[in-house]
Amino acid sequence: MIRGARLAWPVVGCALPLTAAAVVVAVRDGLTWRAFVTGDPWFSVVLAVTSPLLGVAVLHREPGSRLAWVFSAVGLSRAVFVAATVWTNHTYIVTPGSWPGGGFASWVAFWMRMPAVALAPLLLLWFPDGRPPGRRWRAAAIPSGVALTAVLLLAVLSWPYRGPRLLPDAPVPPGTRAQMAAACFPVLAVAGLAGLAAGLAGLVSRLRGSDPVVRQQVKWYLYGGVAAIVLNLAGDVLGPGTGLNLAGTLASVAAILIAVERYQLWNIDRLINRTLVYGTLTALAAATYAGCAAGLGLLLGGAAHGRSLAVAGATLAAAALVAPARHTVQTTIDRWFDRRAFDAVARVRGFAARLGTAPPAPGELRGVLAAALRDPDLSVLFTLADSRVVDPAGVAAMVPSAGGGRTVRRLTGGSGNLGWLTHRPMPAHETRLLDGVLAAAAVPLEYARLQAELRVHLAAVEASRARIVEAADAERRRIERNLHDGAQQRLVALAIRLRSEQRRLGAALDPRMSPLLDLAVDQLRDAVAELRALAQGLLPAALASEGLGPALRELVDRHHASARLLQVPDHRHGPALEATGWFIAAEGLANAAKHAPGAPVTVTANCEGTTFTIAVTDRGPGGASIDAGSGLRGLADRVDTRGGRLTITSPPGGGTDLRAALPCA
Amino acid sequence: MRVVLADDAVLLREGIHRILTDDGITVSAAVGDVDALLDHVAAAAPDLAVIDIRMPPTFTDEGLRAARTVRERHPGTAVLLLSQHVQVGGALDLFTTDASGLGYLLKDRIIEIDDFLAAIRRVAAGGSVIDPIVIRALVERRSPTDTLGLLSDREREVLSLMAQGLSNPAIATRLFVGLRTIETHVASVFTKLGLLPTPDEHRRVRAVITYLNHSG
Repeated sequence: MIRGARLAWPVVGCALPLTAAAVVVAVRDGLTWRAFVTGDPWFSVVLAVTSPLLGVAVLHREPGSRLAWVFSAVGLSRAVFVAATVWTNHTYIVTPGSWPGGGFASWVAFWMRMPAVALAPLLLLWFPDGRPPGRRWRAAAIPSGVALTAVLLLAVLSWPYRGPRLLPDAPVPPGTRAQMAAACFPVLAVAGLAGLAAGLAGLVSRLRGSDPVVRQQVKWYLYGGVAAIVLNLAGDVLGPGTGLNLAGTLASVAAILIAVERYQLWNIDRLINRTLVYGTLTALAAATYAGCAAGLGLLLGGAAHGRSLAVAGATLAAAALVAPARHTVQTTIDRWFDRRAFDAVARVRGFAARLGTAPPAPGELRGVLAAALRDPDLSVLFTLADSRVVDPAGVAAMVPSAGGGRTVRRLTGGSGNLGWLTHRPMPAHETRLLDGVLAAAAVPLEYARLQAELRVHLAAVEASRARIVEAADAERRRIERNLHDGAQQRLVALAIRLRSEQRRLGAALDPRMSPLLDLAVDQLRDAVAELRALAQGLLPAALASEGLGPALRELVDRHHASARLLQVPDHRHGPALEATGWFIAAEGLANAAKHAPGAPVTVTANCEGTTFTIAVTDRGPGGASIDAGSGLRGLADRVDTRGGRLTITSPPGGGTDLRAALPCA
Repeated sequence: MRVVLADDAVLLREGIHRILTDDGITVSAAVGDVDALLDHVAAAAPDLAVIDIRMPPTFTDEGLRAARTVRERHPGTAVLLLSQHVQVGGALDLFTTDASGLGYLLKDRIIEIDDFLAAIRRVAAGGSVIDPIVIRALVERRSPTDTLGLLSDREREVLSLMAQGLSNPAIATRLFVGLRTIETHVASVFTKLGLLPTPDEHRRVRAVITYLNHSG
């Protein structure tokens, strides 16, 4: 692998300068090289430049990939071909005899065209991972191997044969070799075409069973491959000068670039991205420097120190420009290159920016991440400080496990373990997208975890408050029962006992005792009445046995005659809700009796949809408020515990309306 | 006359037991829970069952439900319900079906032994008794817009006493007016309520209760 990387860069190091030098010489020679090349020499130049670069890029992503070797080999052979062609042209045509080795150069130029053609099928067959599409496709590489071997063998055997058209006045080689070479061309052509067909078939077979992104890469590559083959064949048939070979090469390069840019082919977009960013920055800085230096030089003109001042000023301007420009350039190129990742991160950043102004609903972050990562089934779970796992709404959940086609990723933040992200499996080229999105979501994730934690604690507090109220209610019921069934019964039983003894003794009773017994019975009766009044403030037995309606009726019955019960629920509700309703009615009636004695007062209780309403309305003097008494304060807390709201409307002189709305099932 | 007592409060049960026995009434059984009561009624068919509304296990309305069962299965056994406090809702249903041989008293009433014994005898004989406090609660519950609002204060007072099972002379004595005056009031009440007057005491109660319940 390291060897592969070591060799691919020297190939670039050889091929690019060689091609560049050849192009310089060709331009100086007036581009007369066309006479020696079948097809368009520029097509070879493009191949000589792009192929080694692609080889490096592939190696960068997949070390040891055979595809990289093919690209490098194609590129190198084309670079050598271009250089040899230019060399031959220069030494034979432009300035005859000026450079040595014309014969060797023309031999190289003739044979170095072939390897690229022989290797082309492998570019199709081994795309994109350097392996054939399947075990059965291994044999499809054979025609390329045969063709390449045949080319090299022929080249050596036919030395110094330089081809039929390269040099009209070159010495004709011995006939057997020329015939041998001529006979081999059809073999080469057949092997090449067979290889191309096999390569295309292999590429098409990859369209099936690949993940969608790889499929898109293959499609673009296929377009490029087909365009290159068709246009090159057409160019070879129609002859040089039509530009078809160049067009085919450019089309295939463009297709590969699209696959790189849109579908992160070989993940080299990052490489290209950086190259472009720093290239643009360098160009920008250089232009600024040059502009400033020239401008300042003009301004400062004659002064002796003008030149150094201009240099210093230009340097400062260029340096000052680079830092702010870097962000703009990076953003622009990011957007162009990896629009999807850019959009995804931008979406999450936008959400994070809104956090401060509009607190998100639970689960909103999950929606944003699902949209950014294009995974509607994505789920986010949080780990609380006490290691419990909950969903964003604070509902307890299990630690997710991978499987069923889902991937689980542990989320970490400043406070350690944040939670878990369950998402669709991401191909290798998408992991950077995931990392970018999660990095942008760091603050929202912390925020959402805190929200979930808060929600869990709030729910616990609410539950405990409801339990306290329920326990208090149960205690009230117990006391009421004990008063009725214990103390009161004993007092009544005692009175009955006294009365019956009094009656049994009749005339035998000491006349002085009779008034004493009467007094005792009267006292007992009073004690029972007092106990009954005491028990009335507690939850009545009728509430549990018969429901809120009858209990309210008893309550209103006990009030003075101006109280009316207008409406009661027609079915039972939970004991906690019924107790709350009863307490509100009892408190409202007690307040009415205290502050508005004799004024008409009505009690209404009903349940519409999911809202239970109870109201006590009097036509008294008004002016009451919830803060006025601990009774109302306690009621408000009780209603709050049930998730409802207690309101009191009491304008001075306008009566008092005590009203509670509570959720009911 | 044979009476079964059902009350979980032992002291009270013994007190009533003693009162009844002293007055020559046979107490066939004194039980502390509903099952024993129903077993005894089924086995011995007593003339009257005196039942506490609140009994174990939940101390809510076990007695009331037992009373309903007794009246459905053993029409020959009259029922007198006892309650520690005003708790009318369910009991009223019983009165509206058939008020004969049915009573409802607060336990405080037992202290007035003569009234209590009279009520026992009246219910056992097929009459009706309803505690005055209950009647007052029921009468006061009516809103002025009800038909009952047509009644004058005096007529409502008379109706309340009628509902307690008082005869016309008794009402006259209670209100310190002449018997003729009371008879006029009663006739007026029945006319206004659209009820036919009958001499039968328990029918008077039943009519009133039925009316009260239905107009509520």
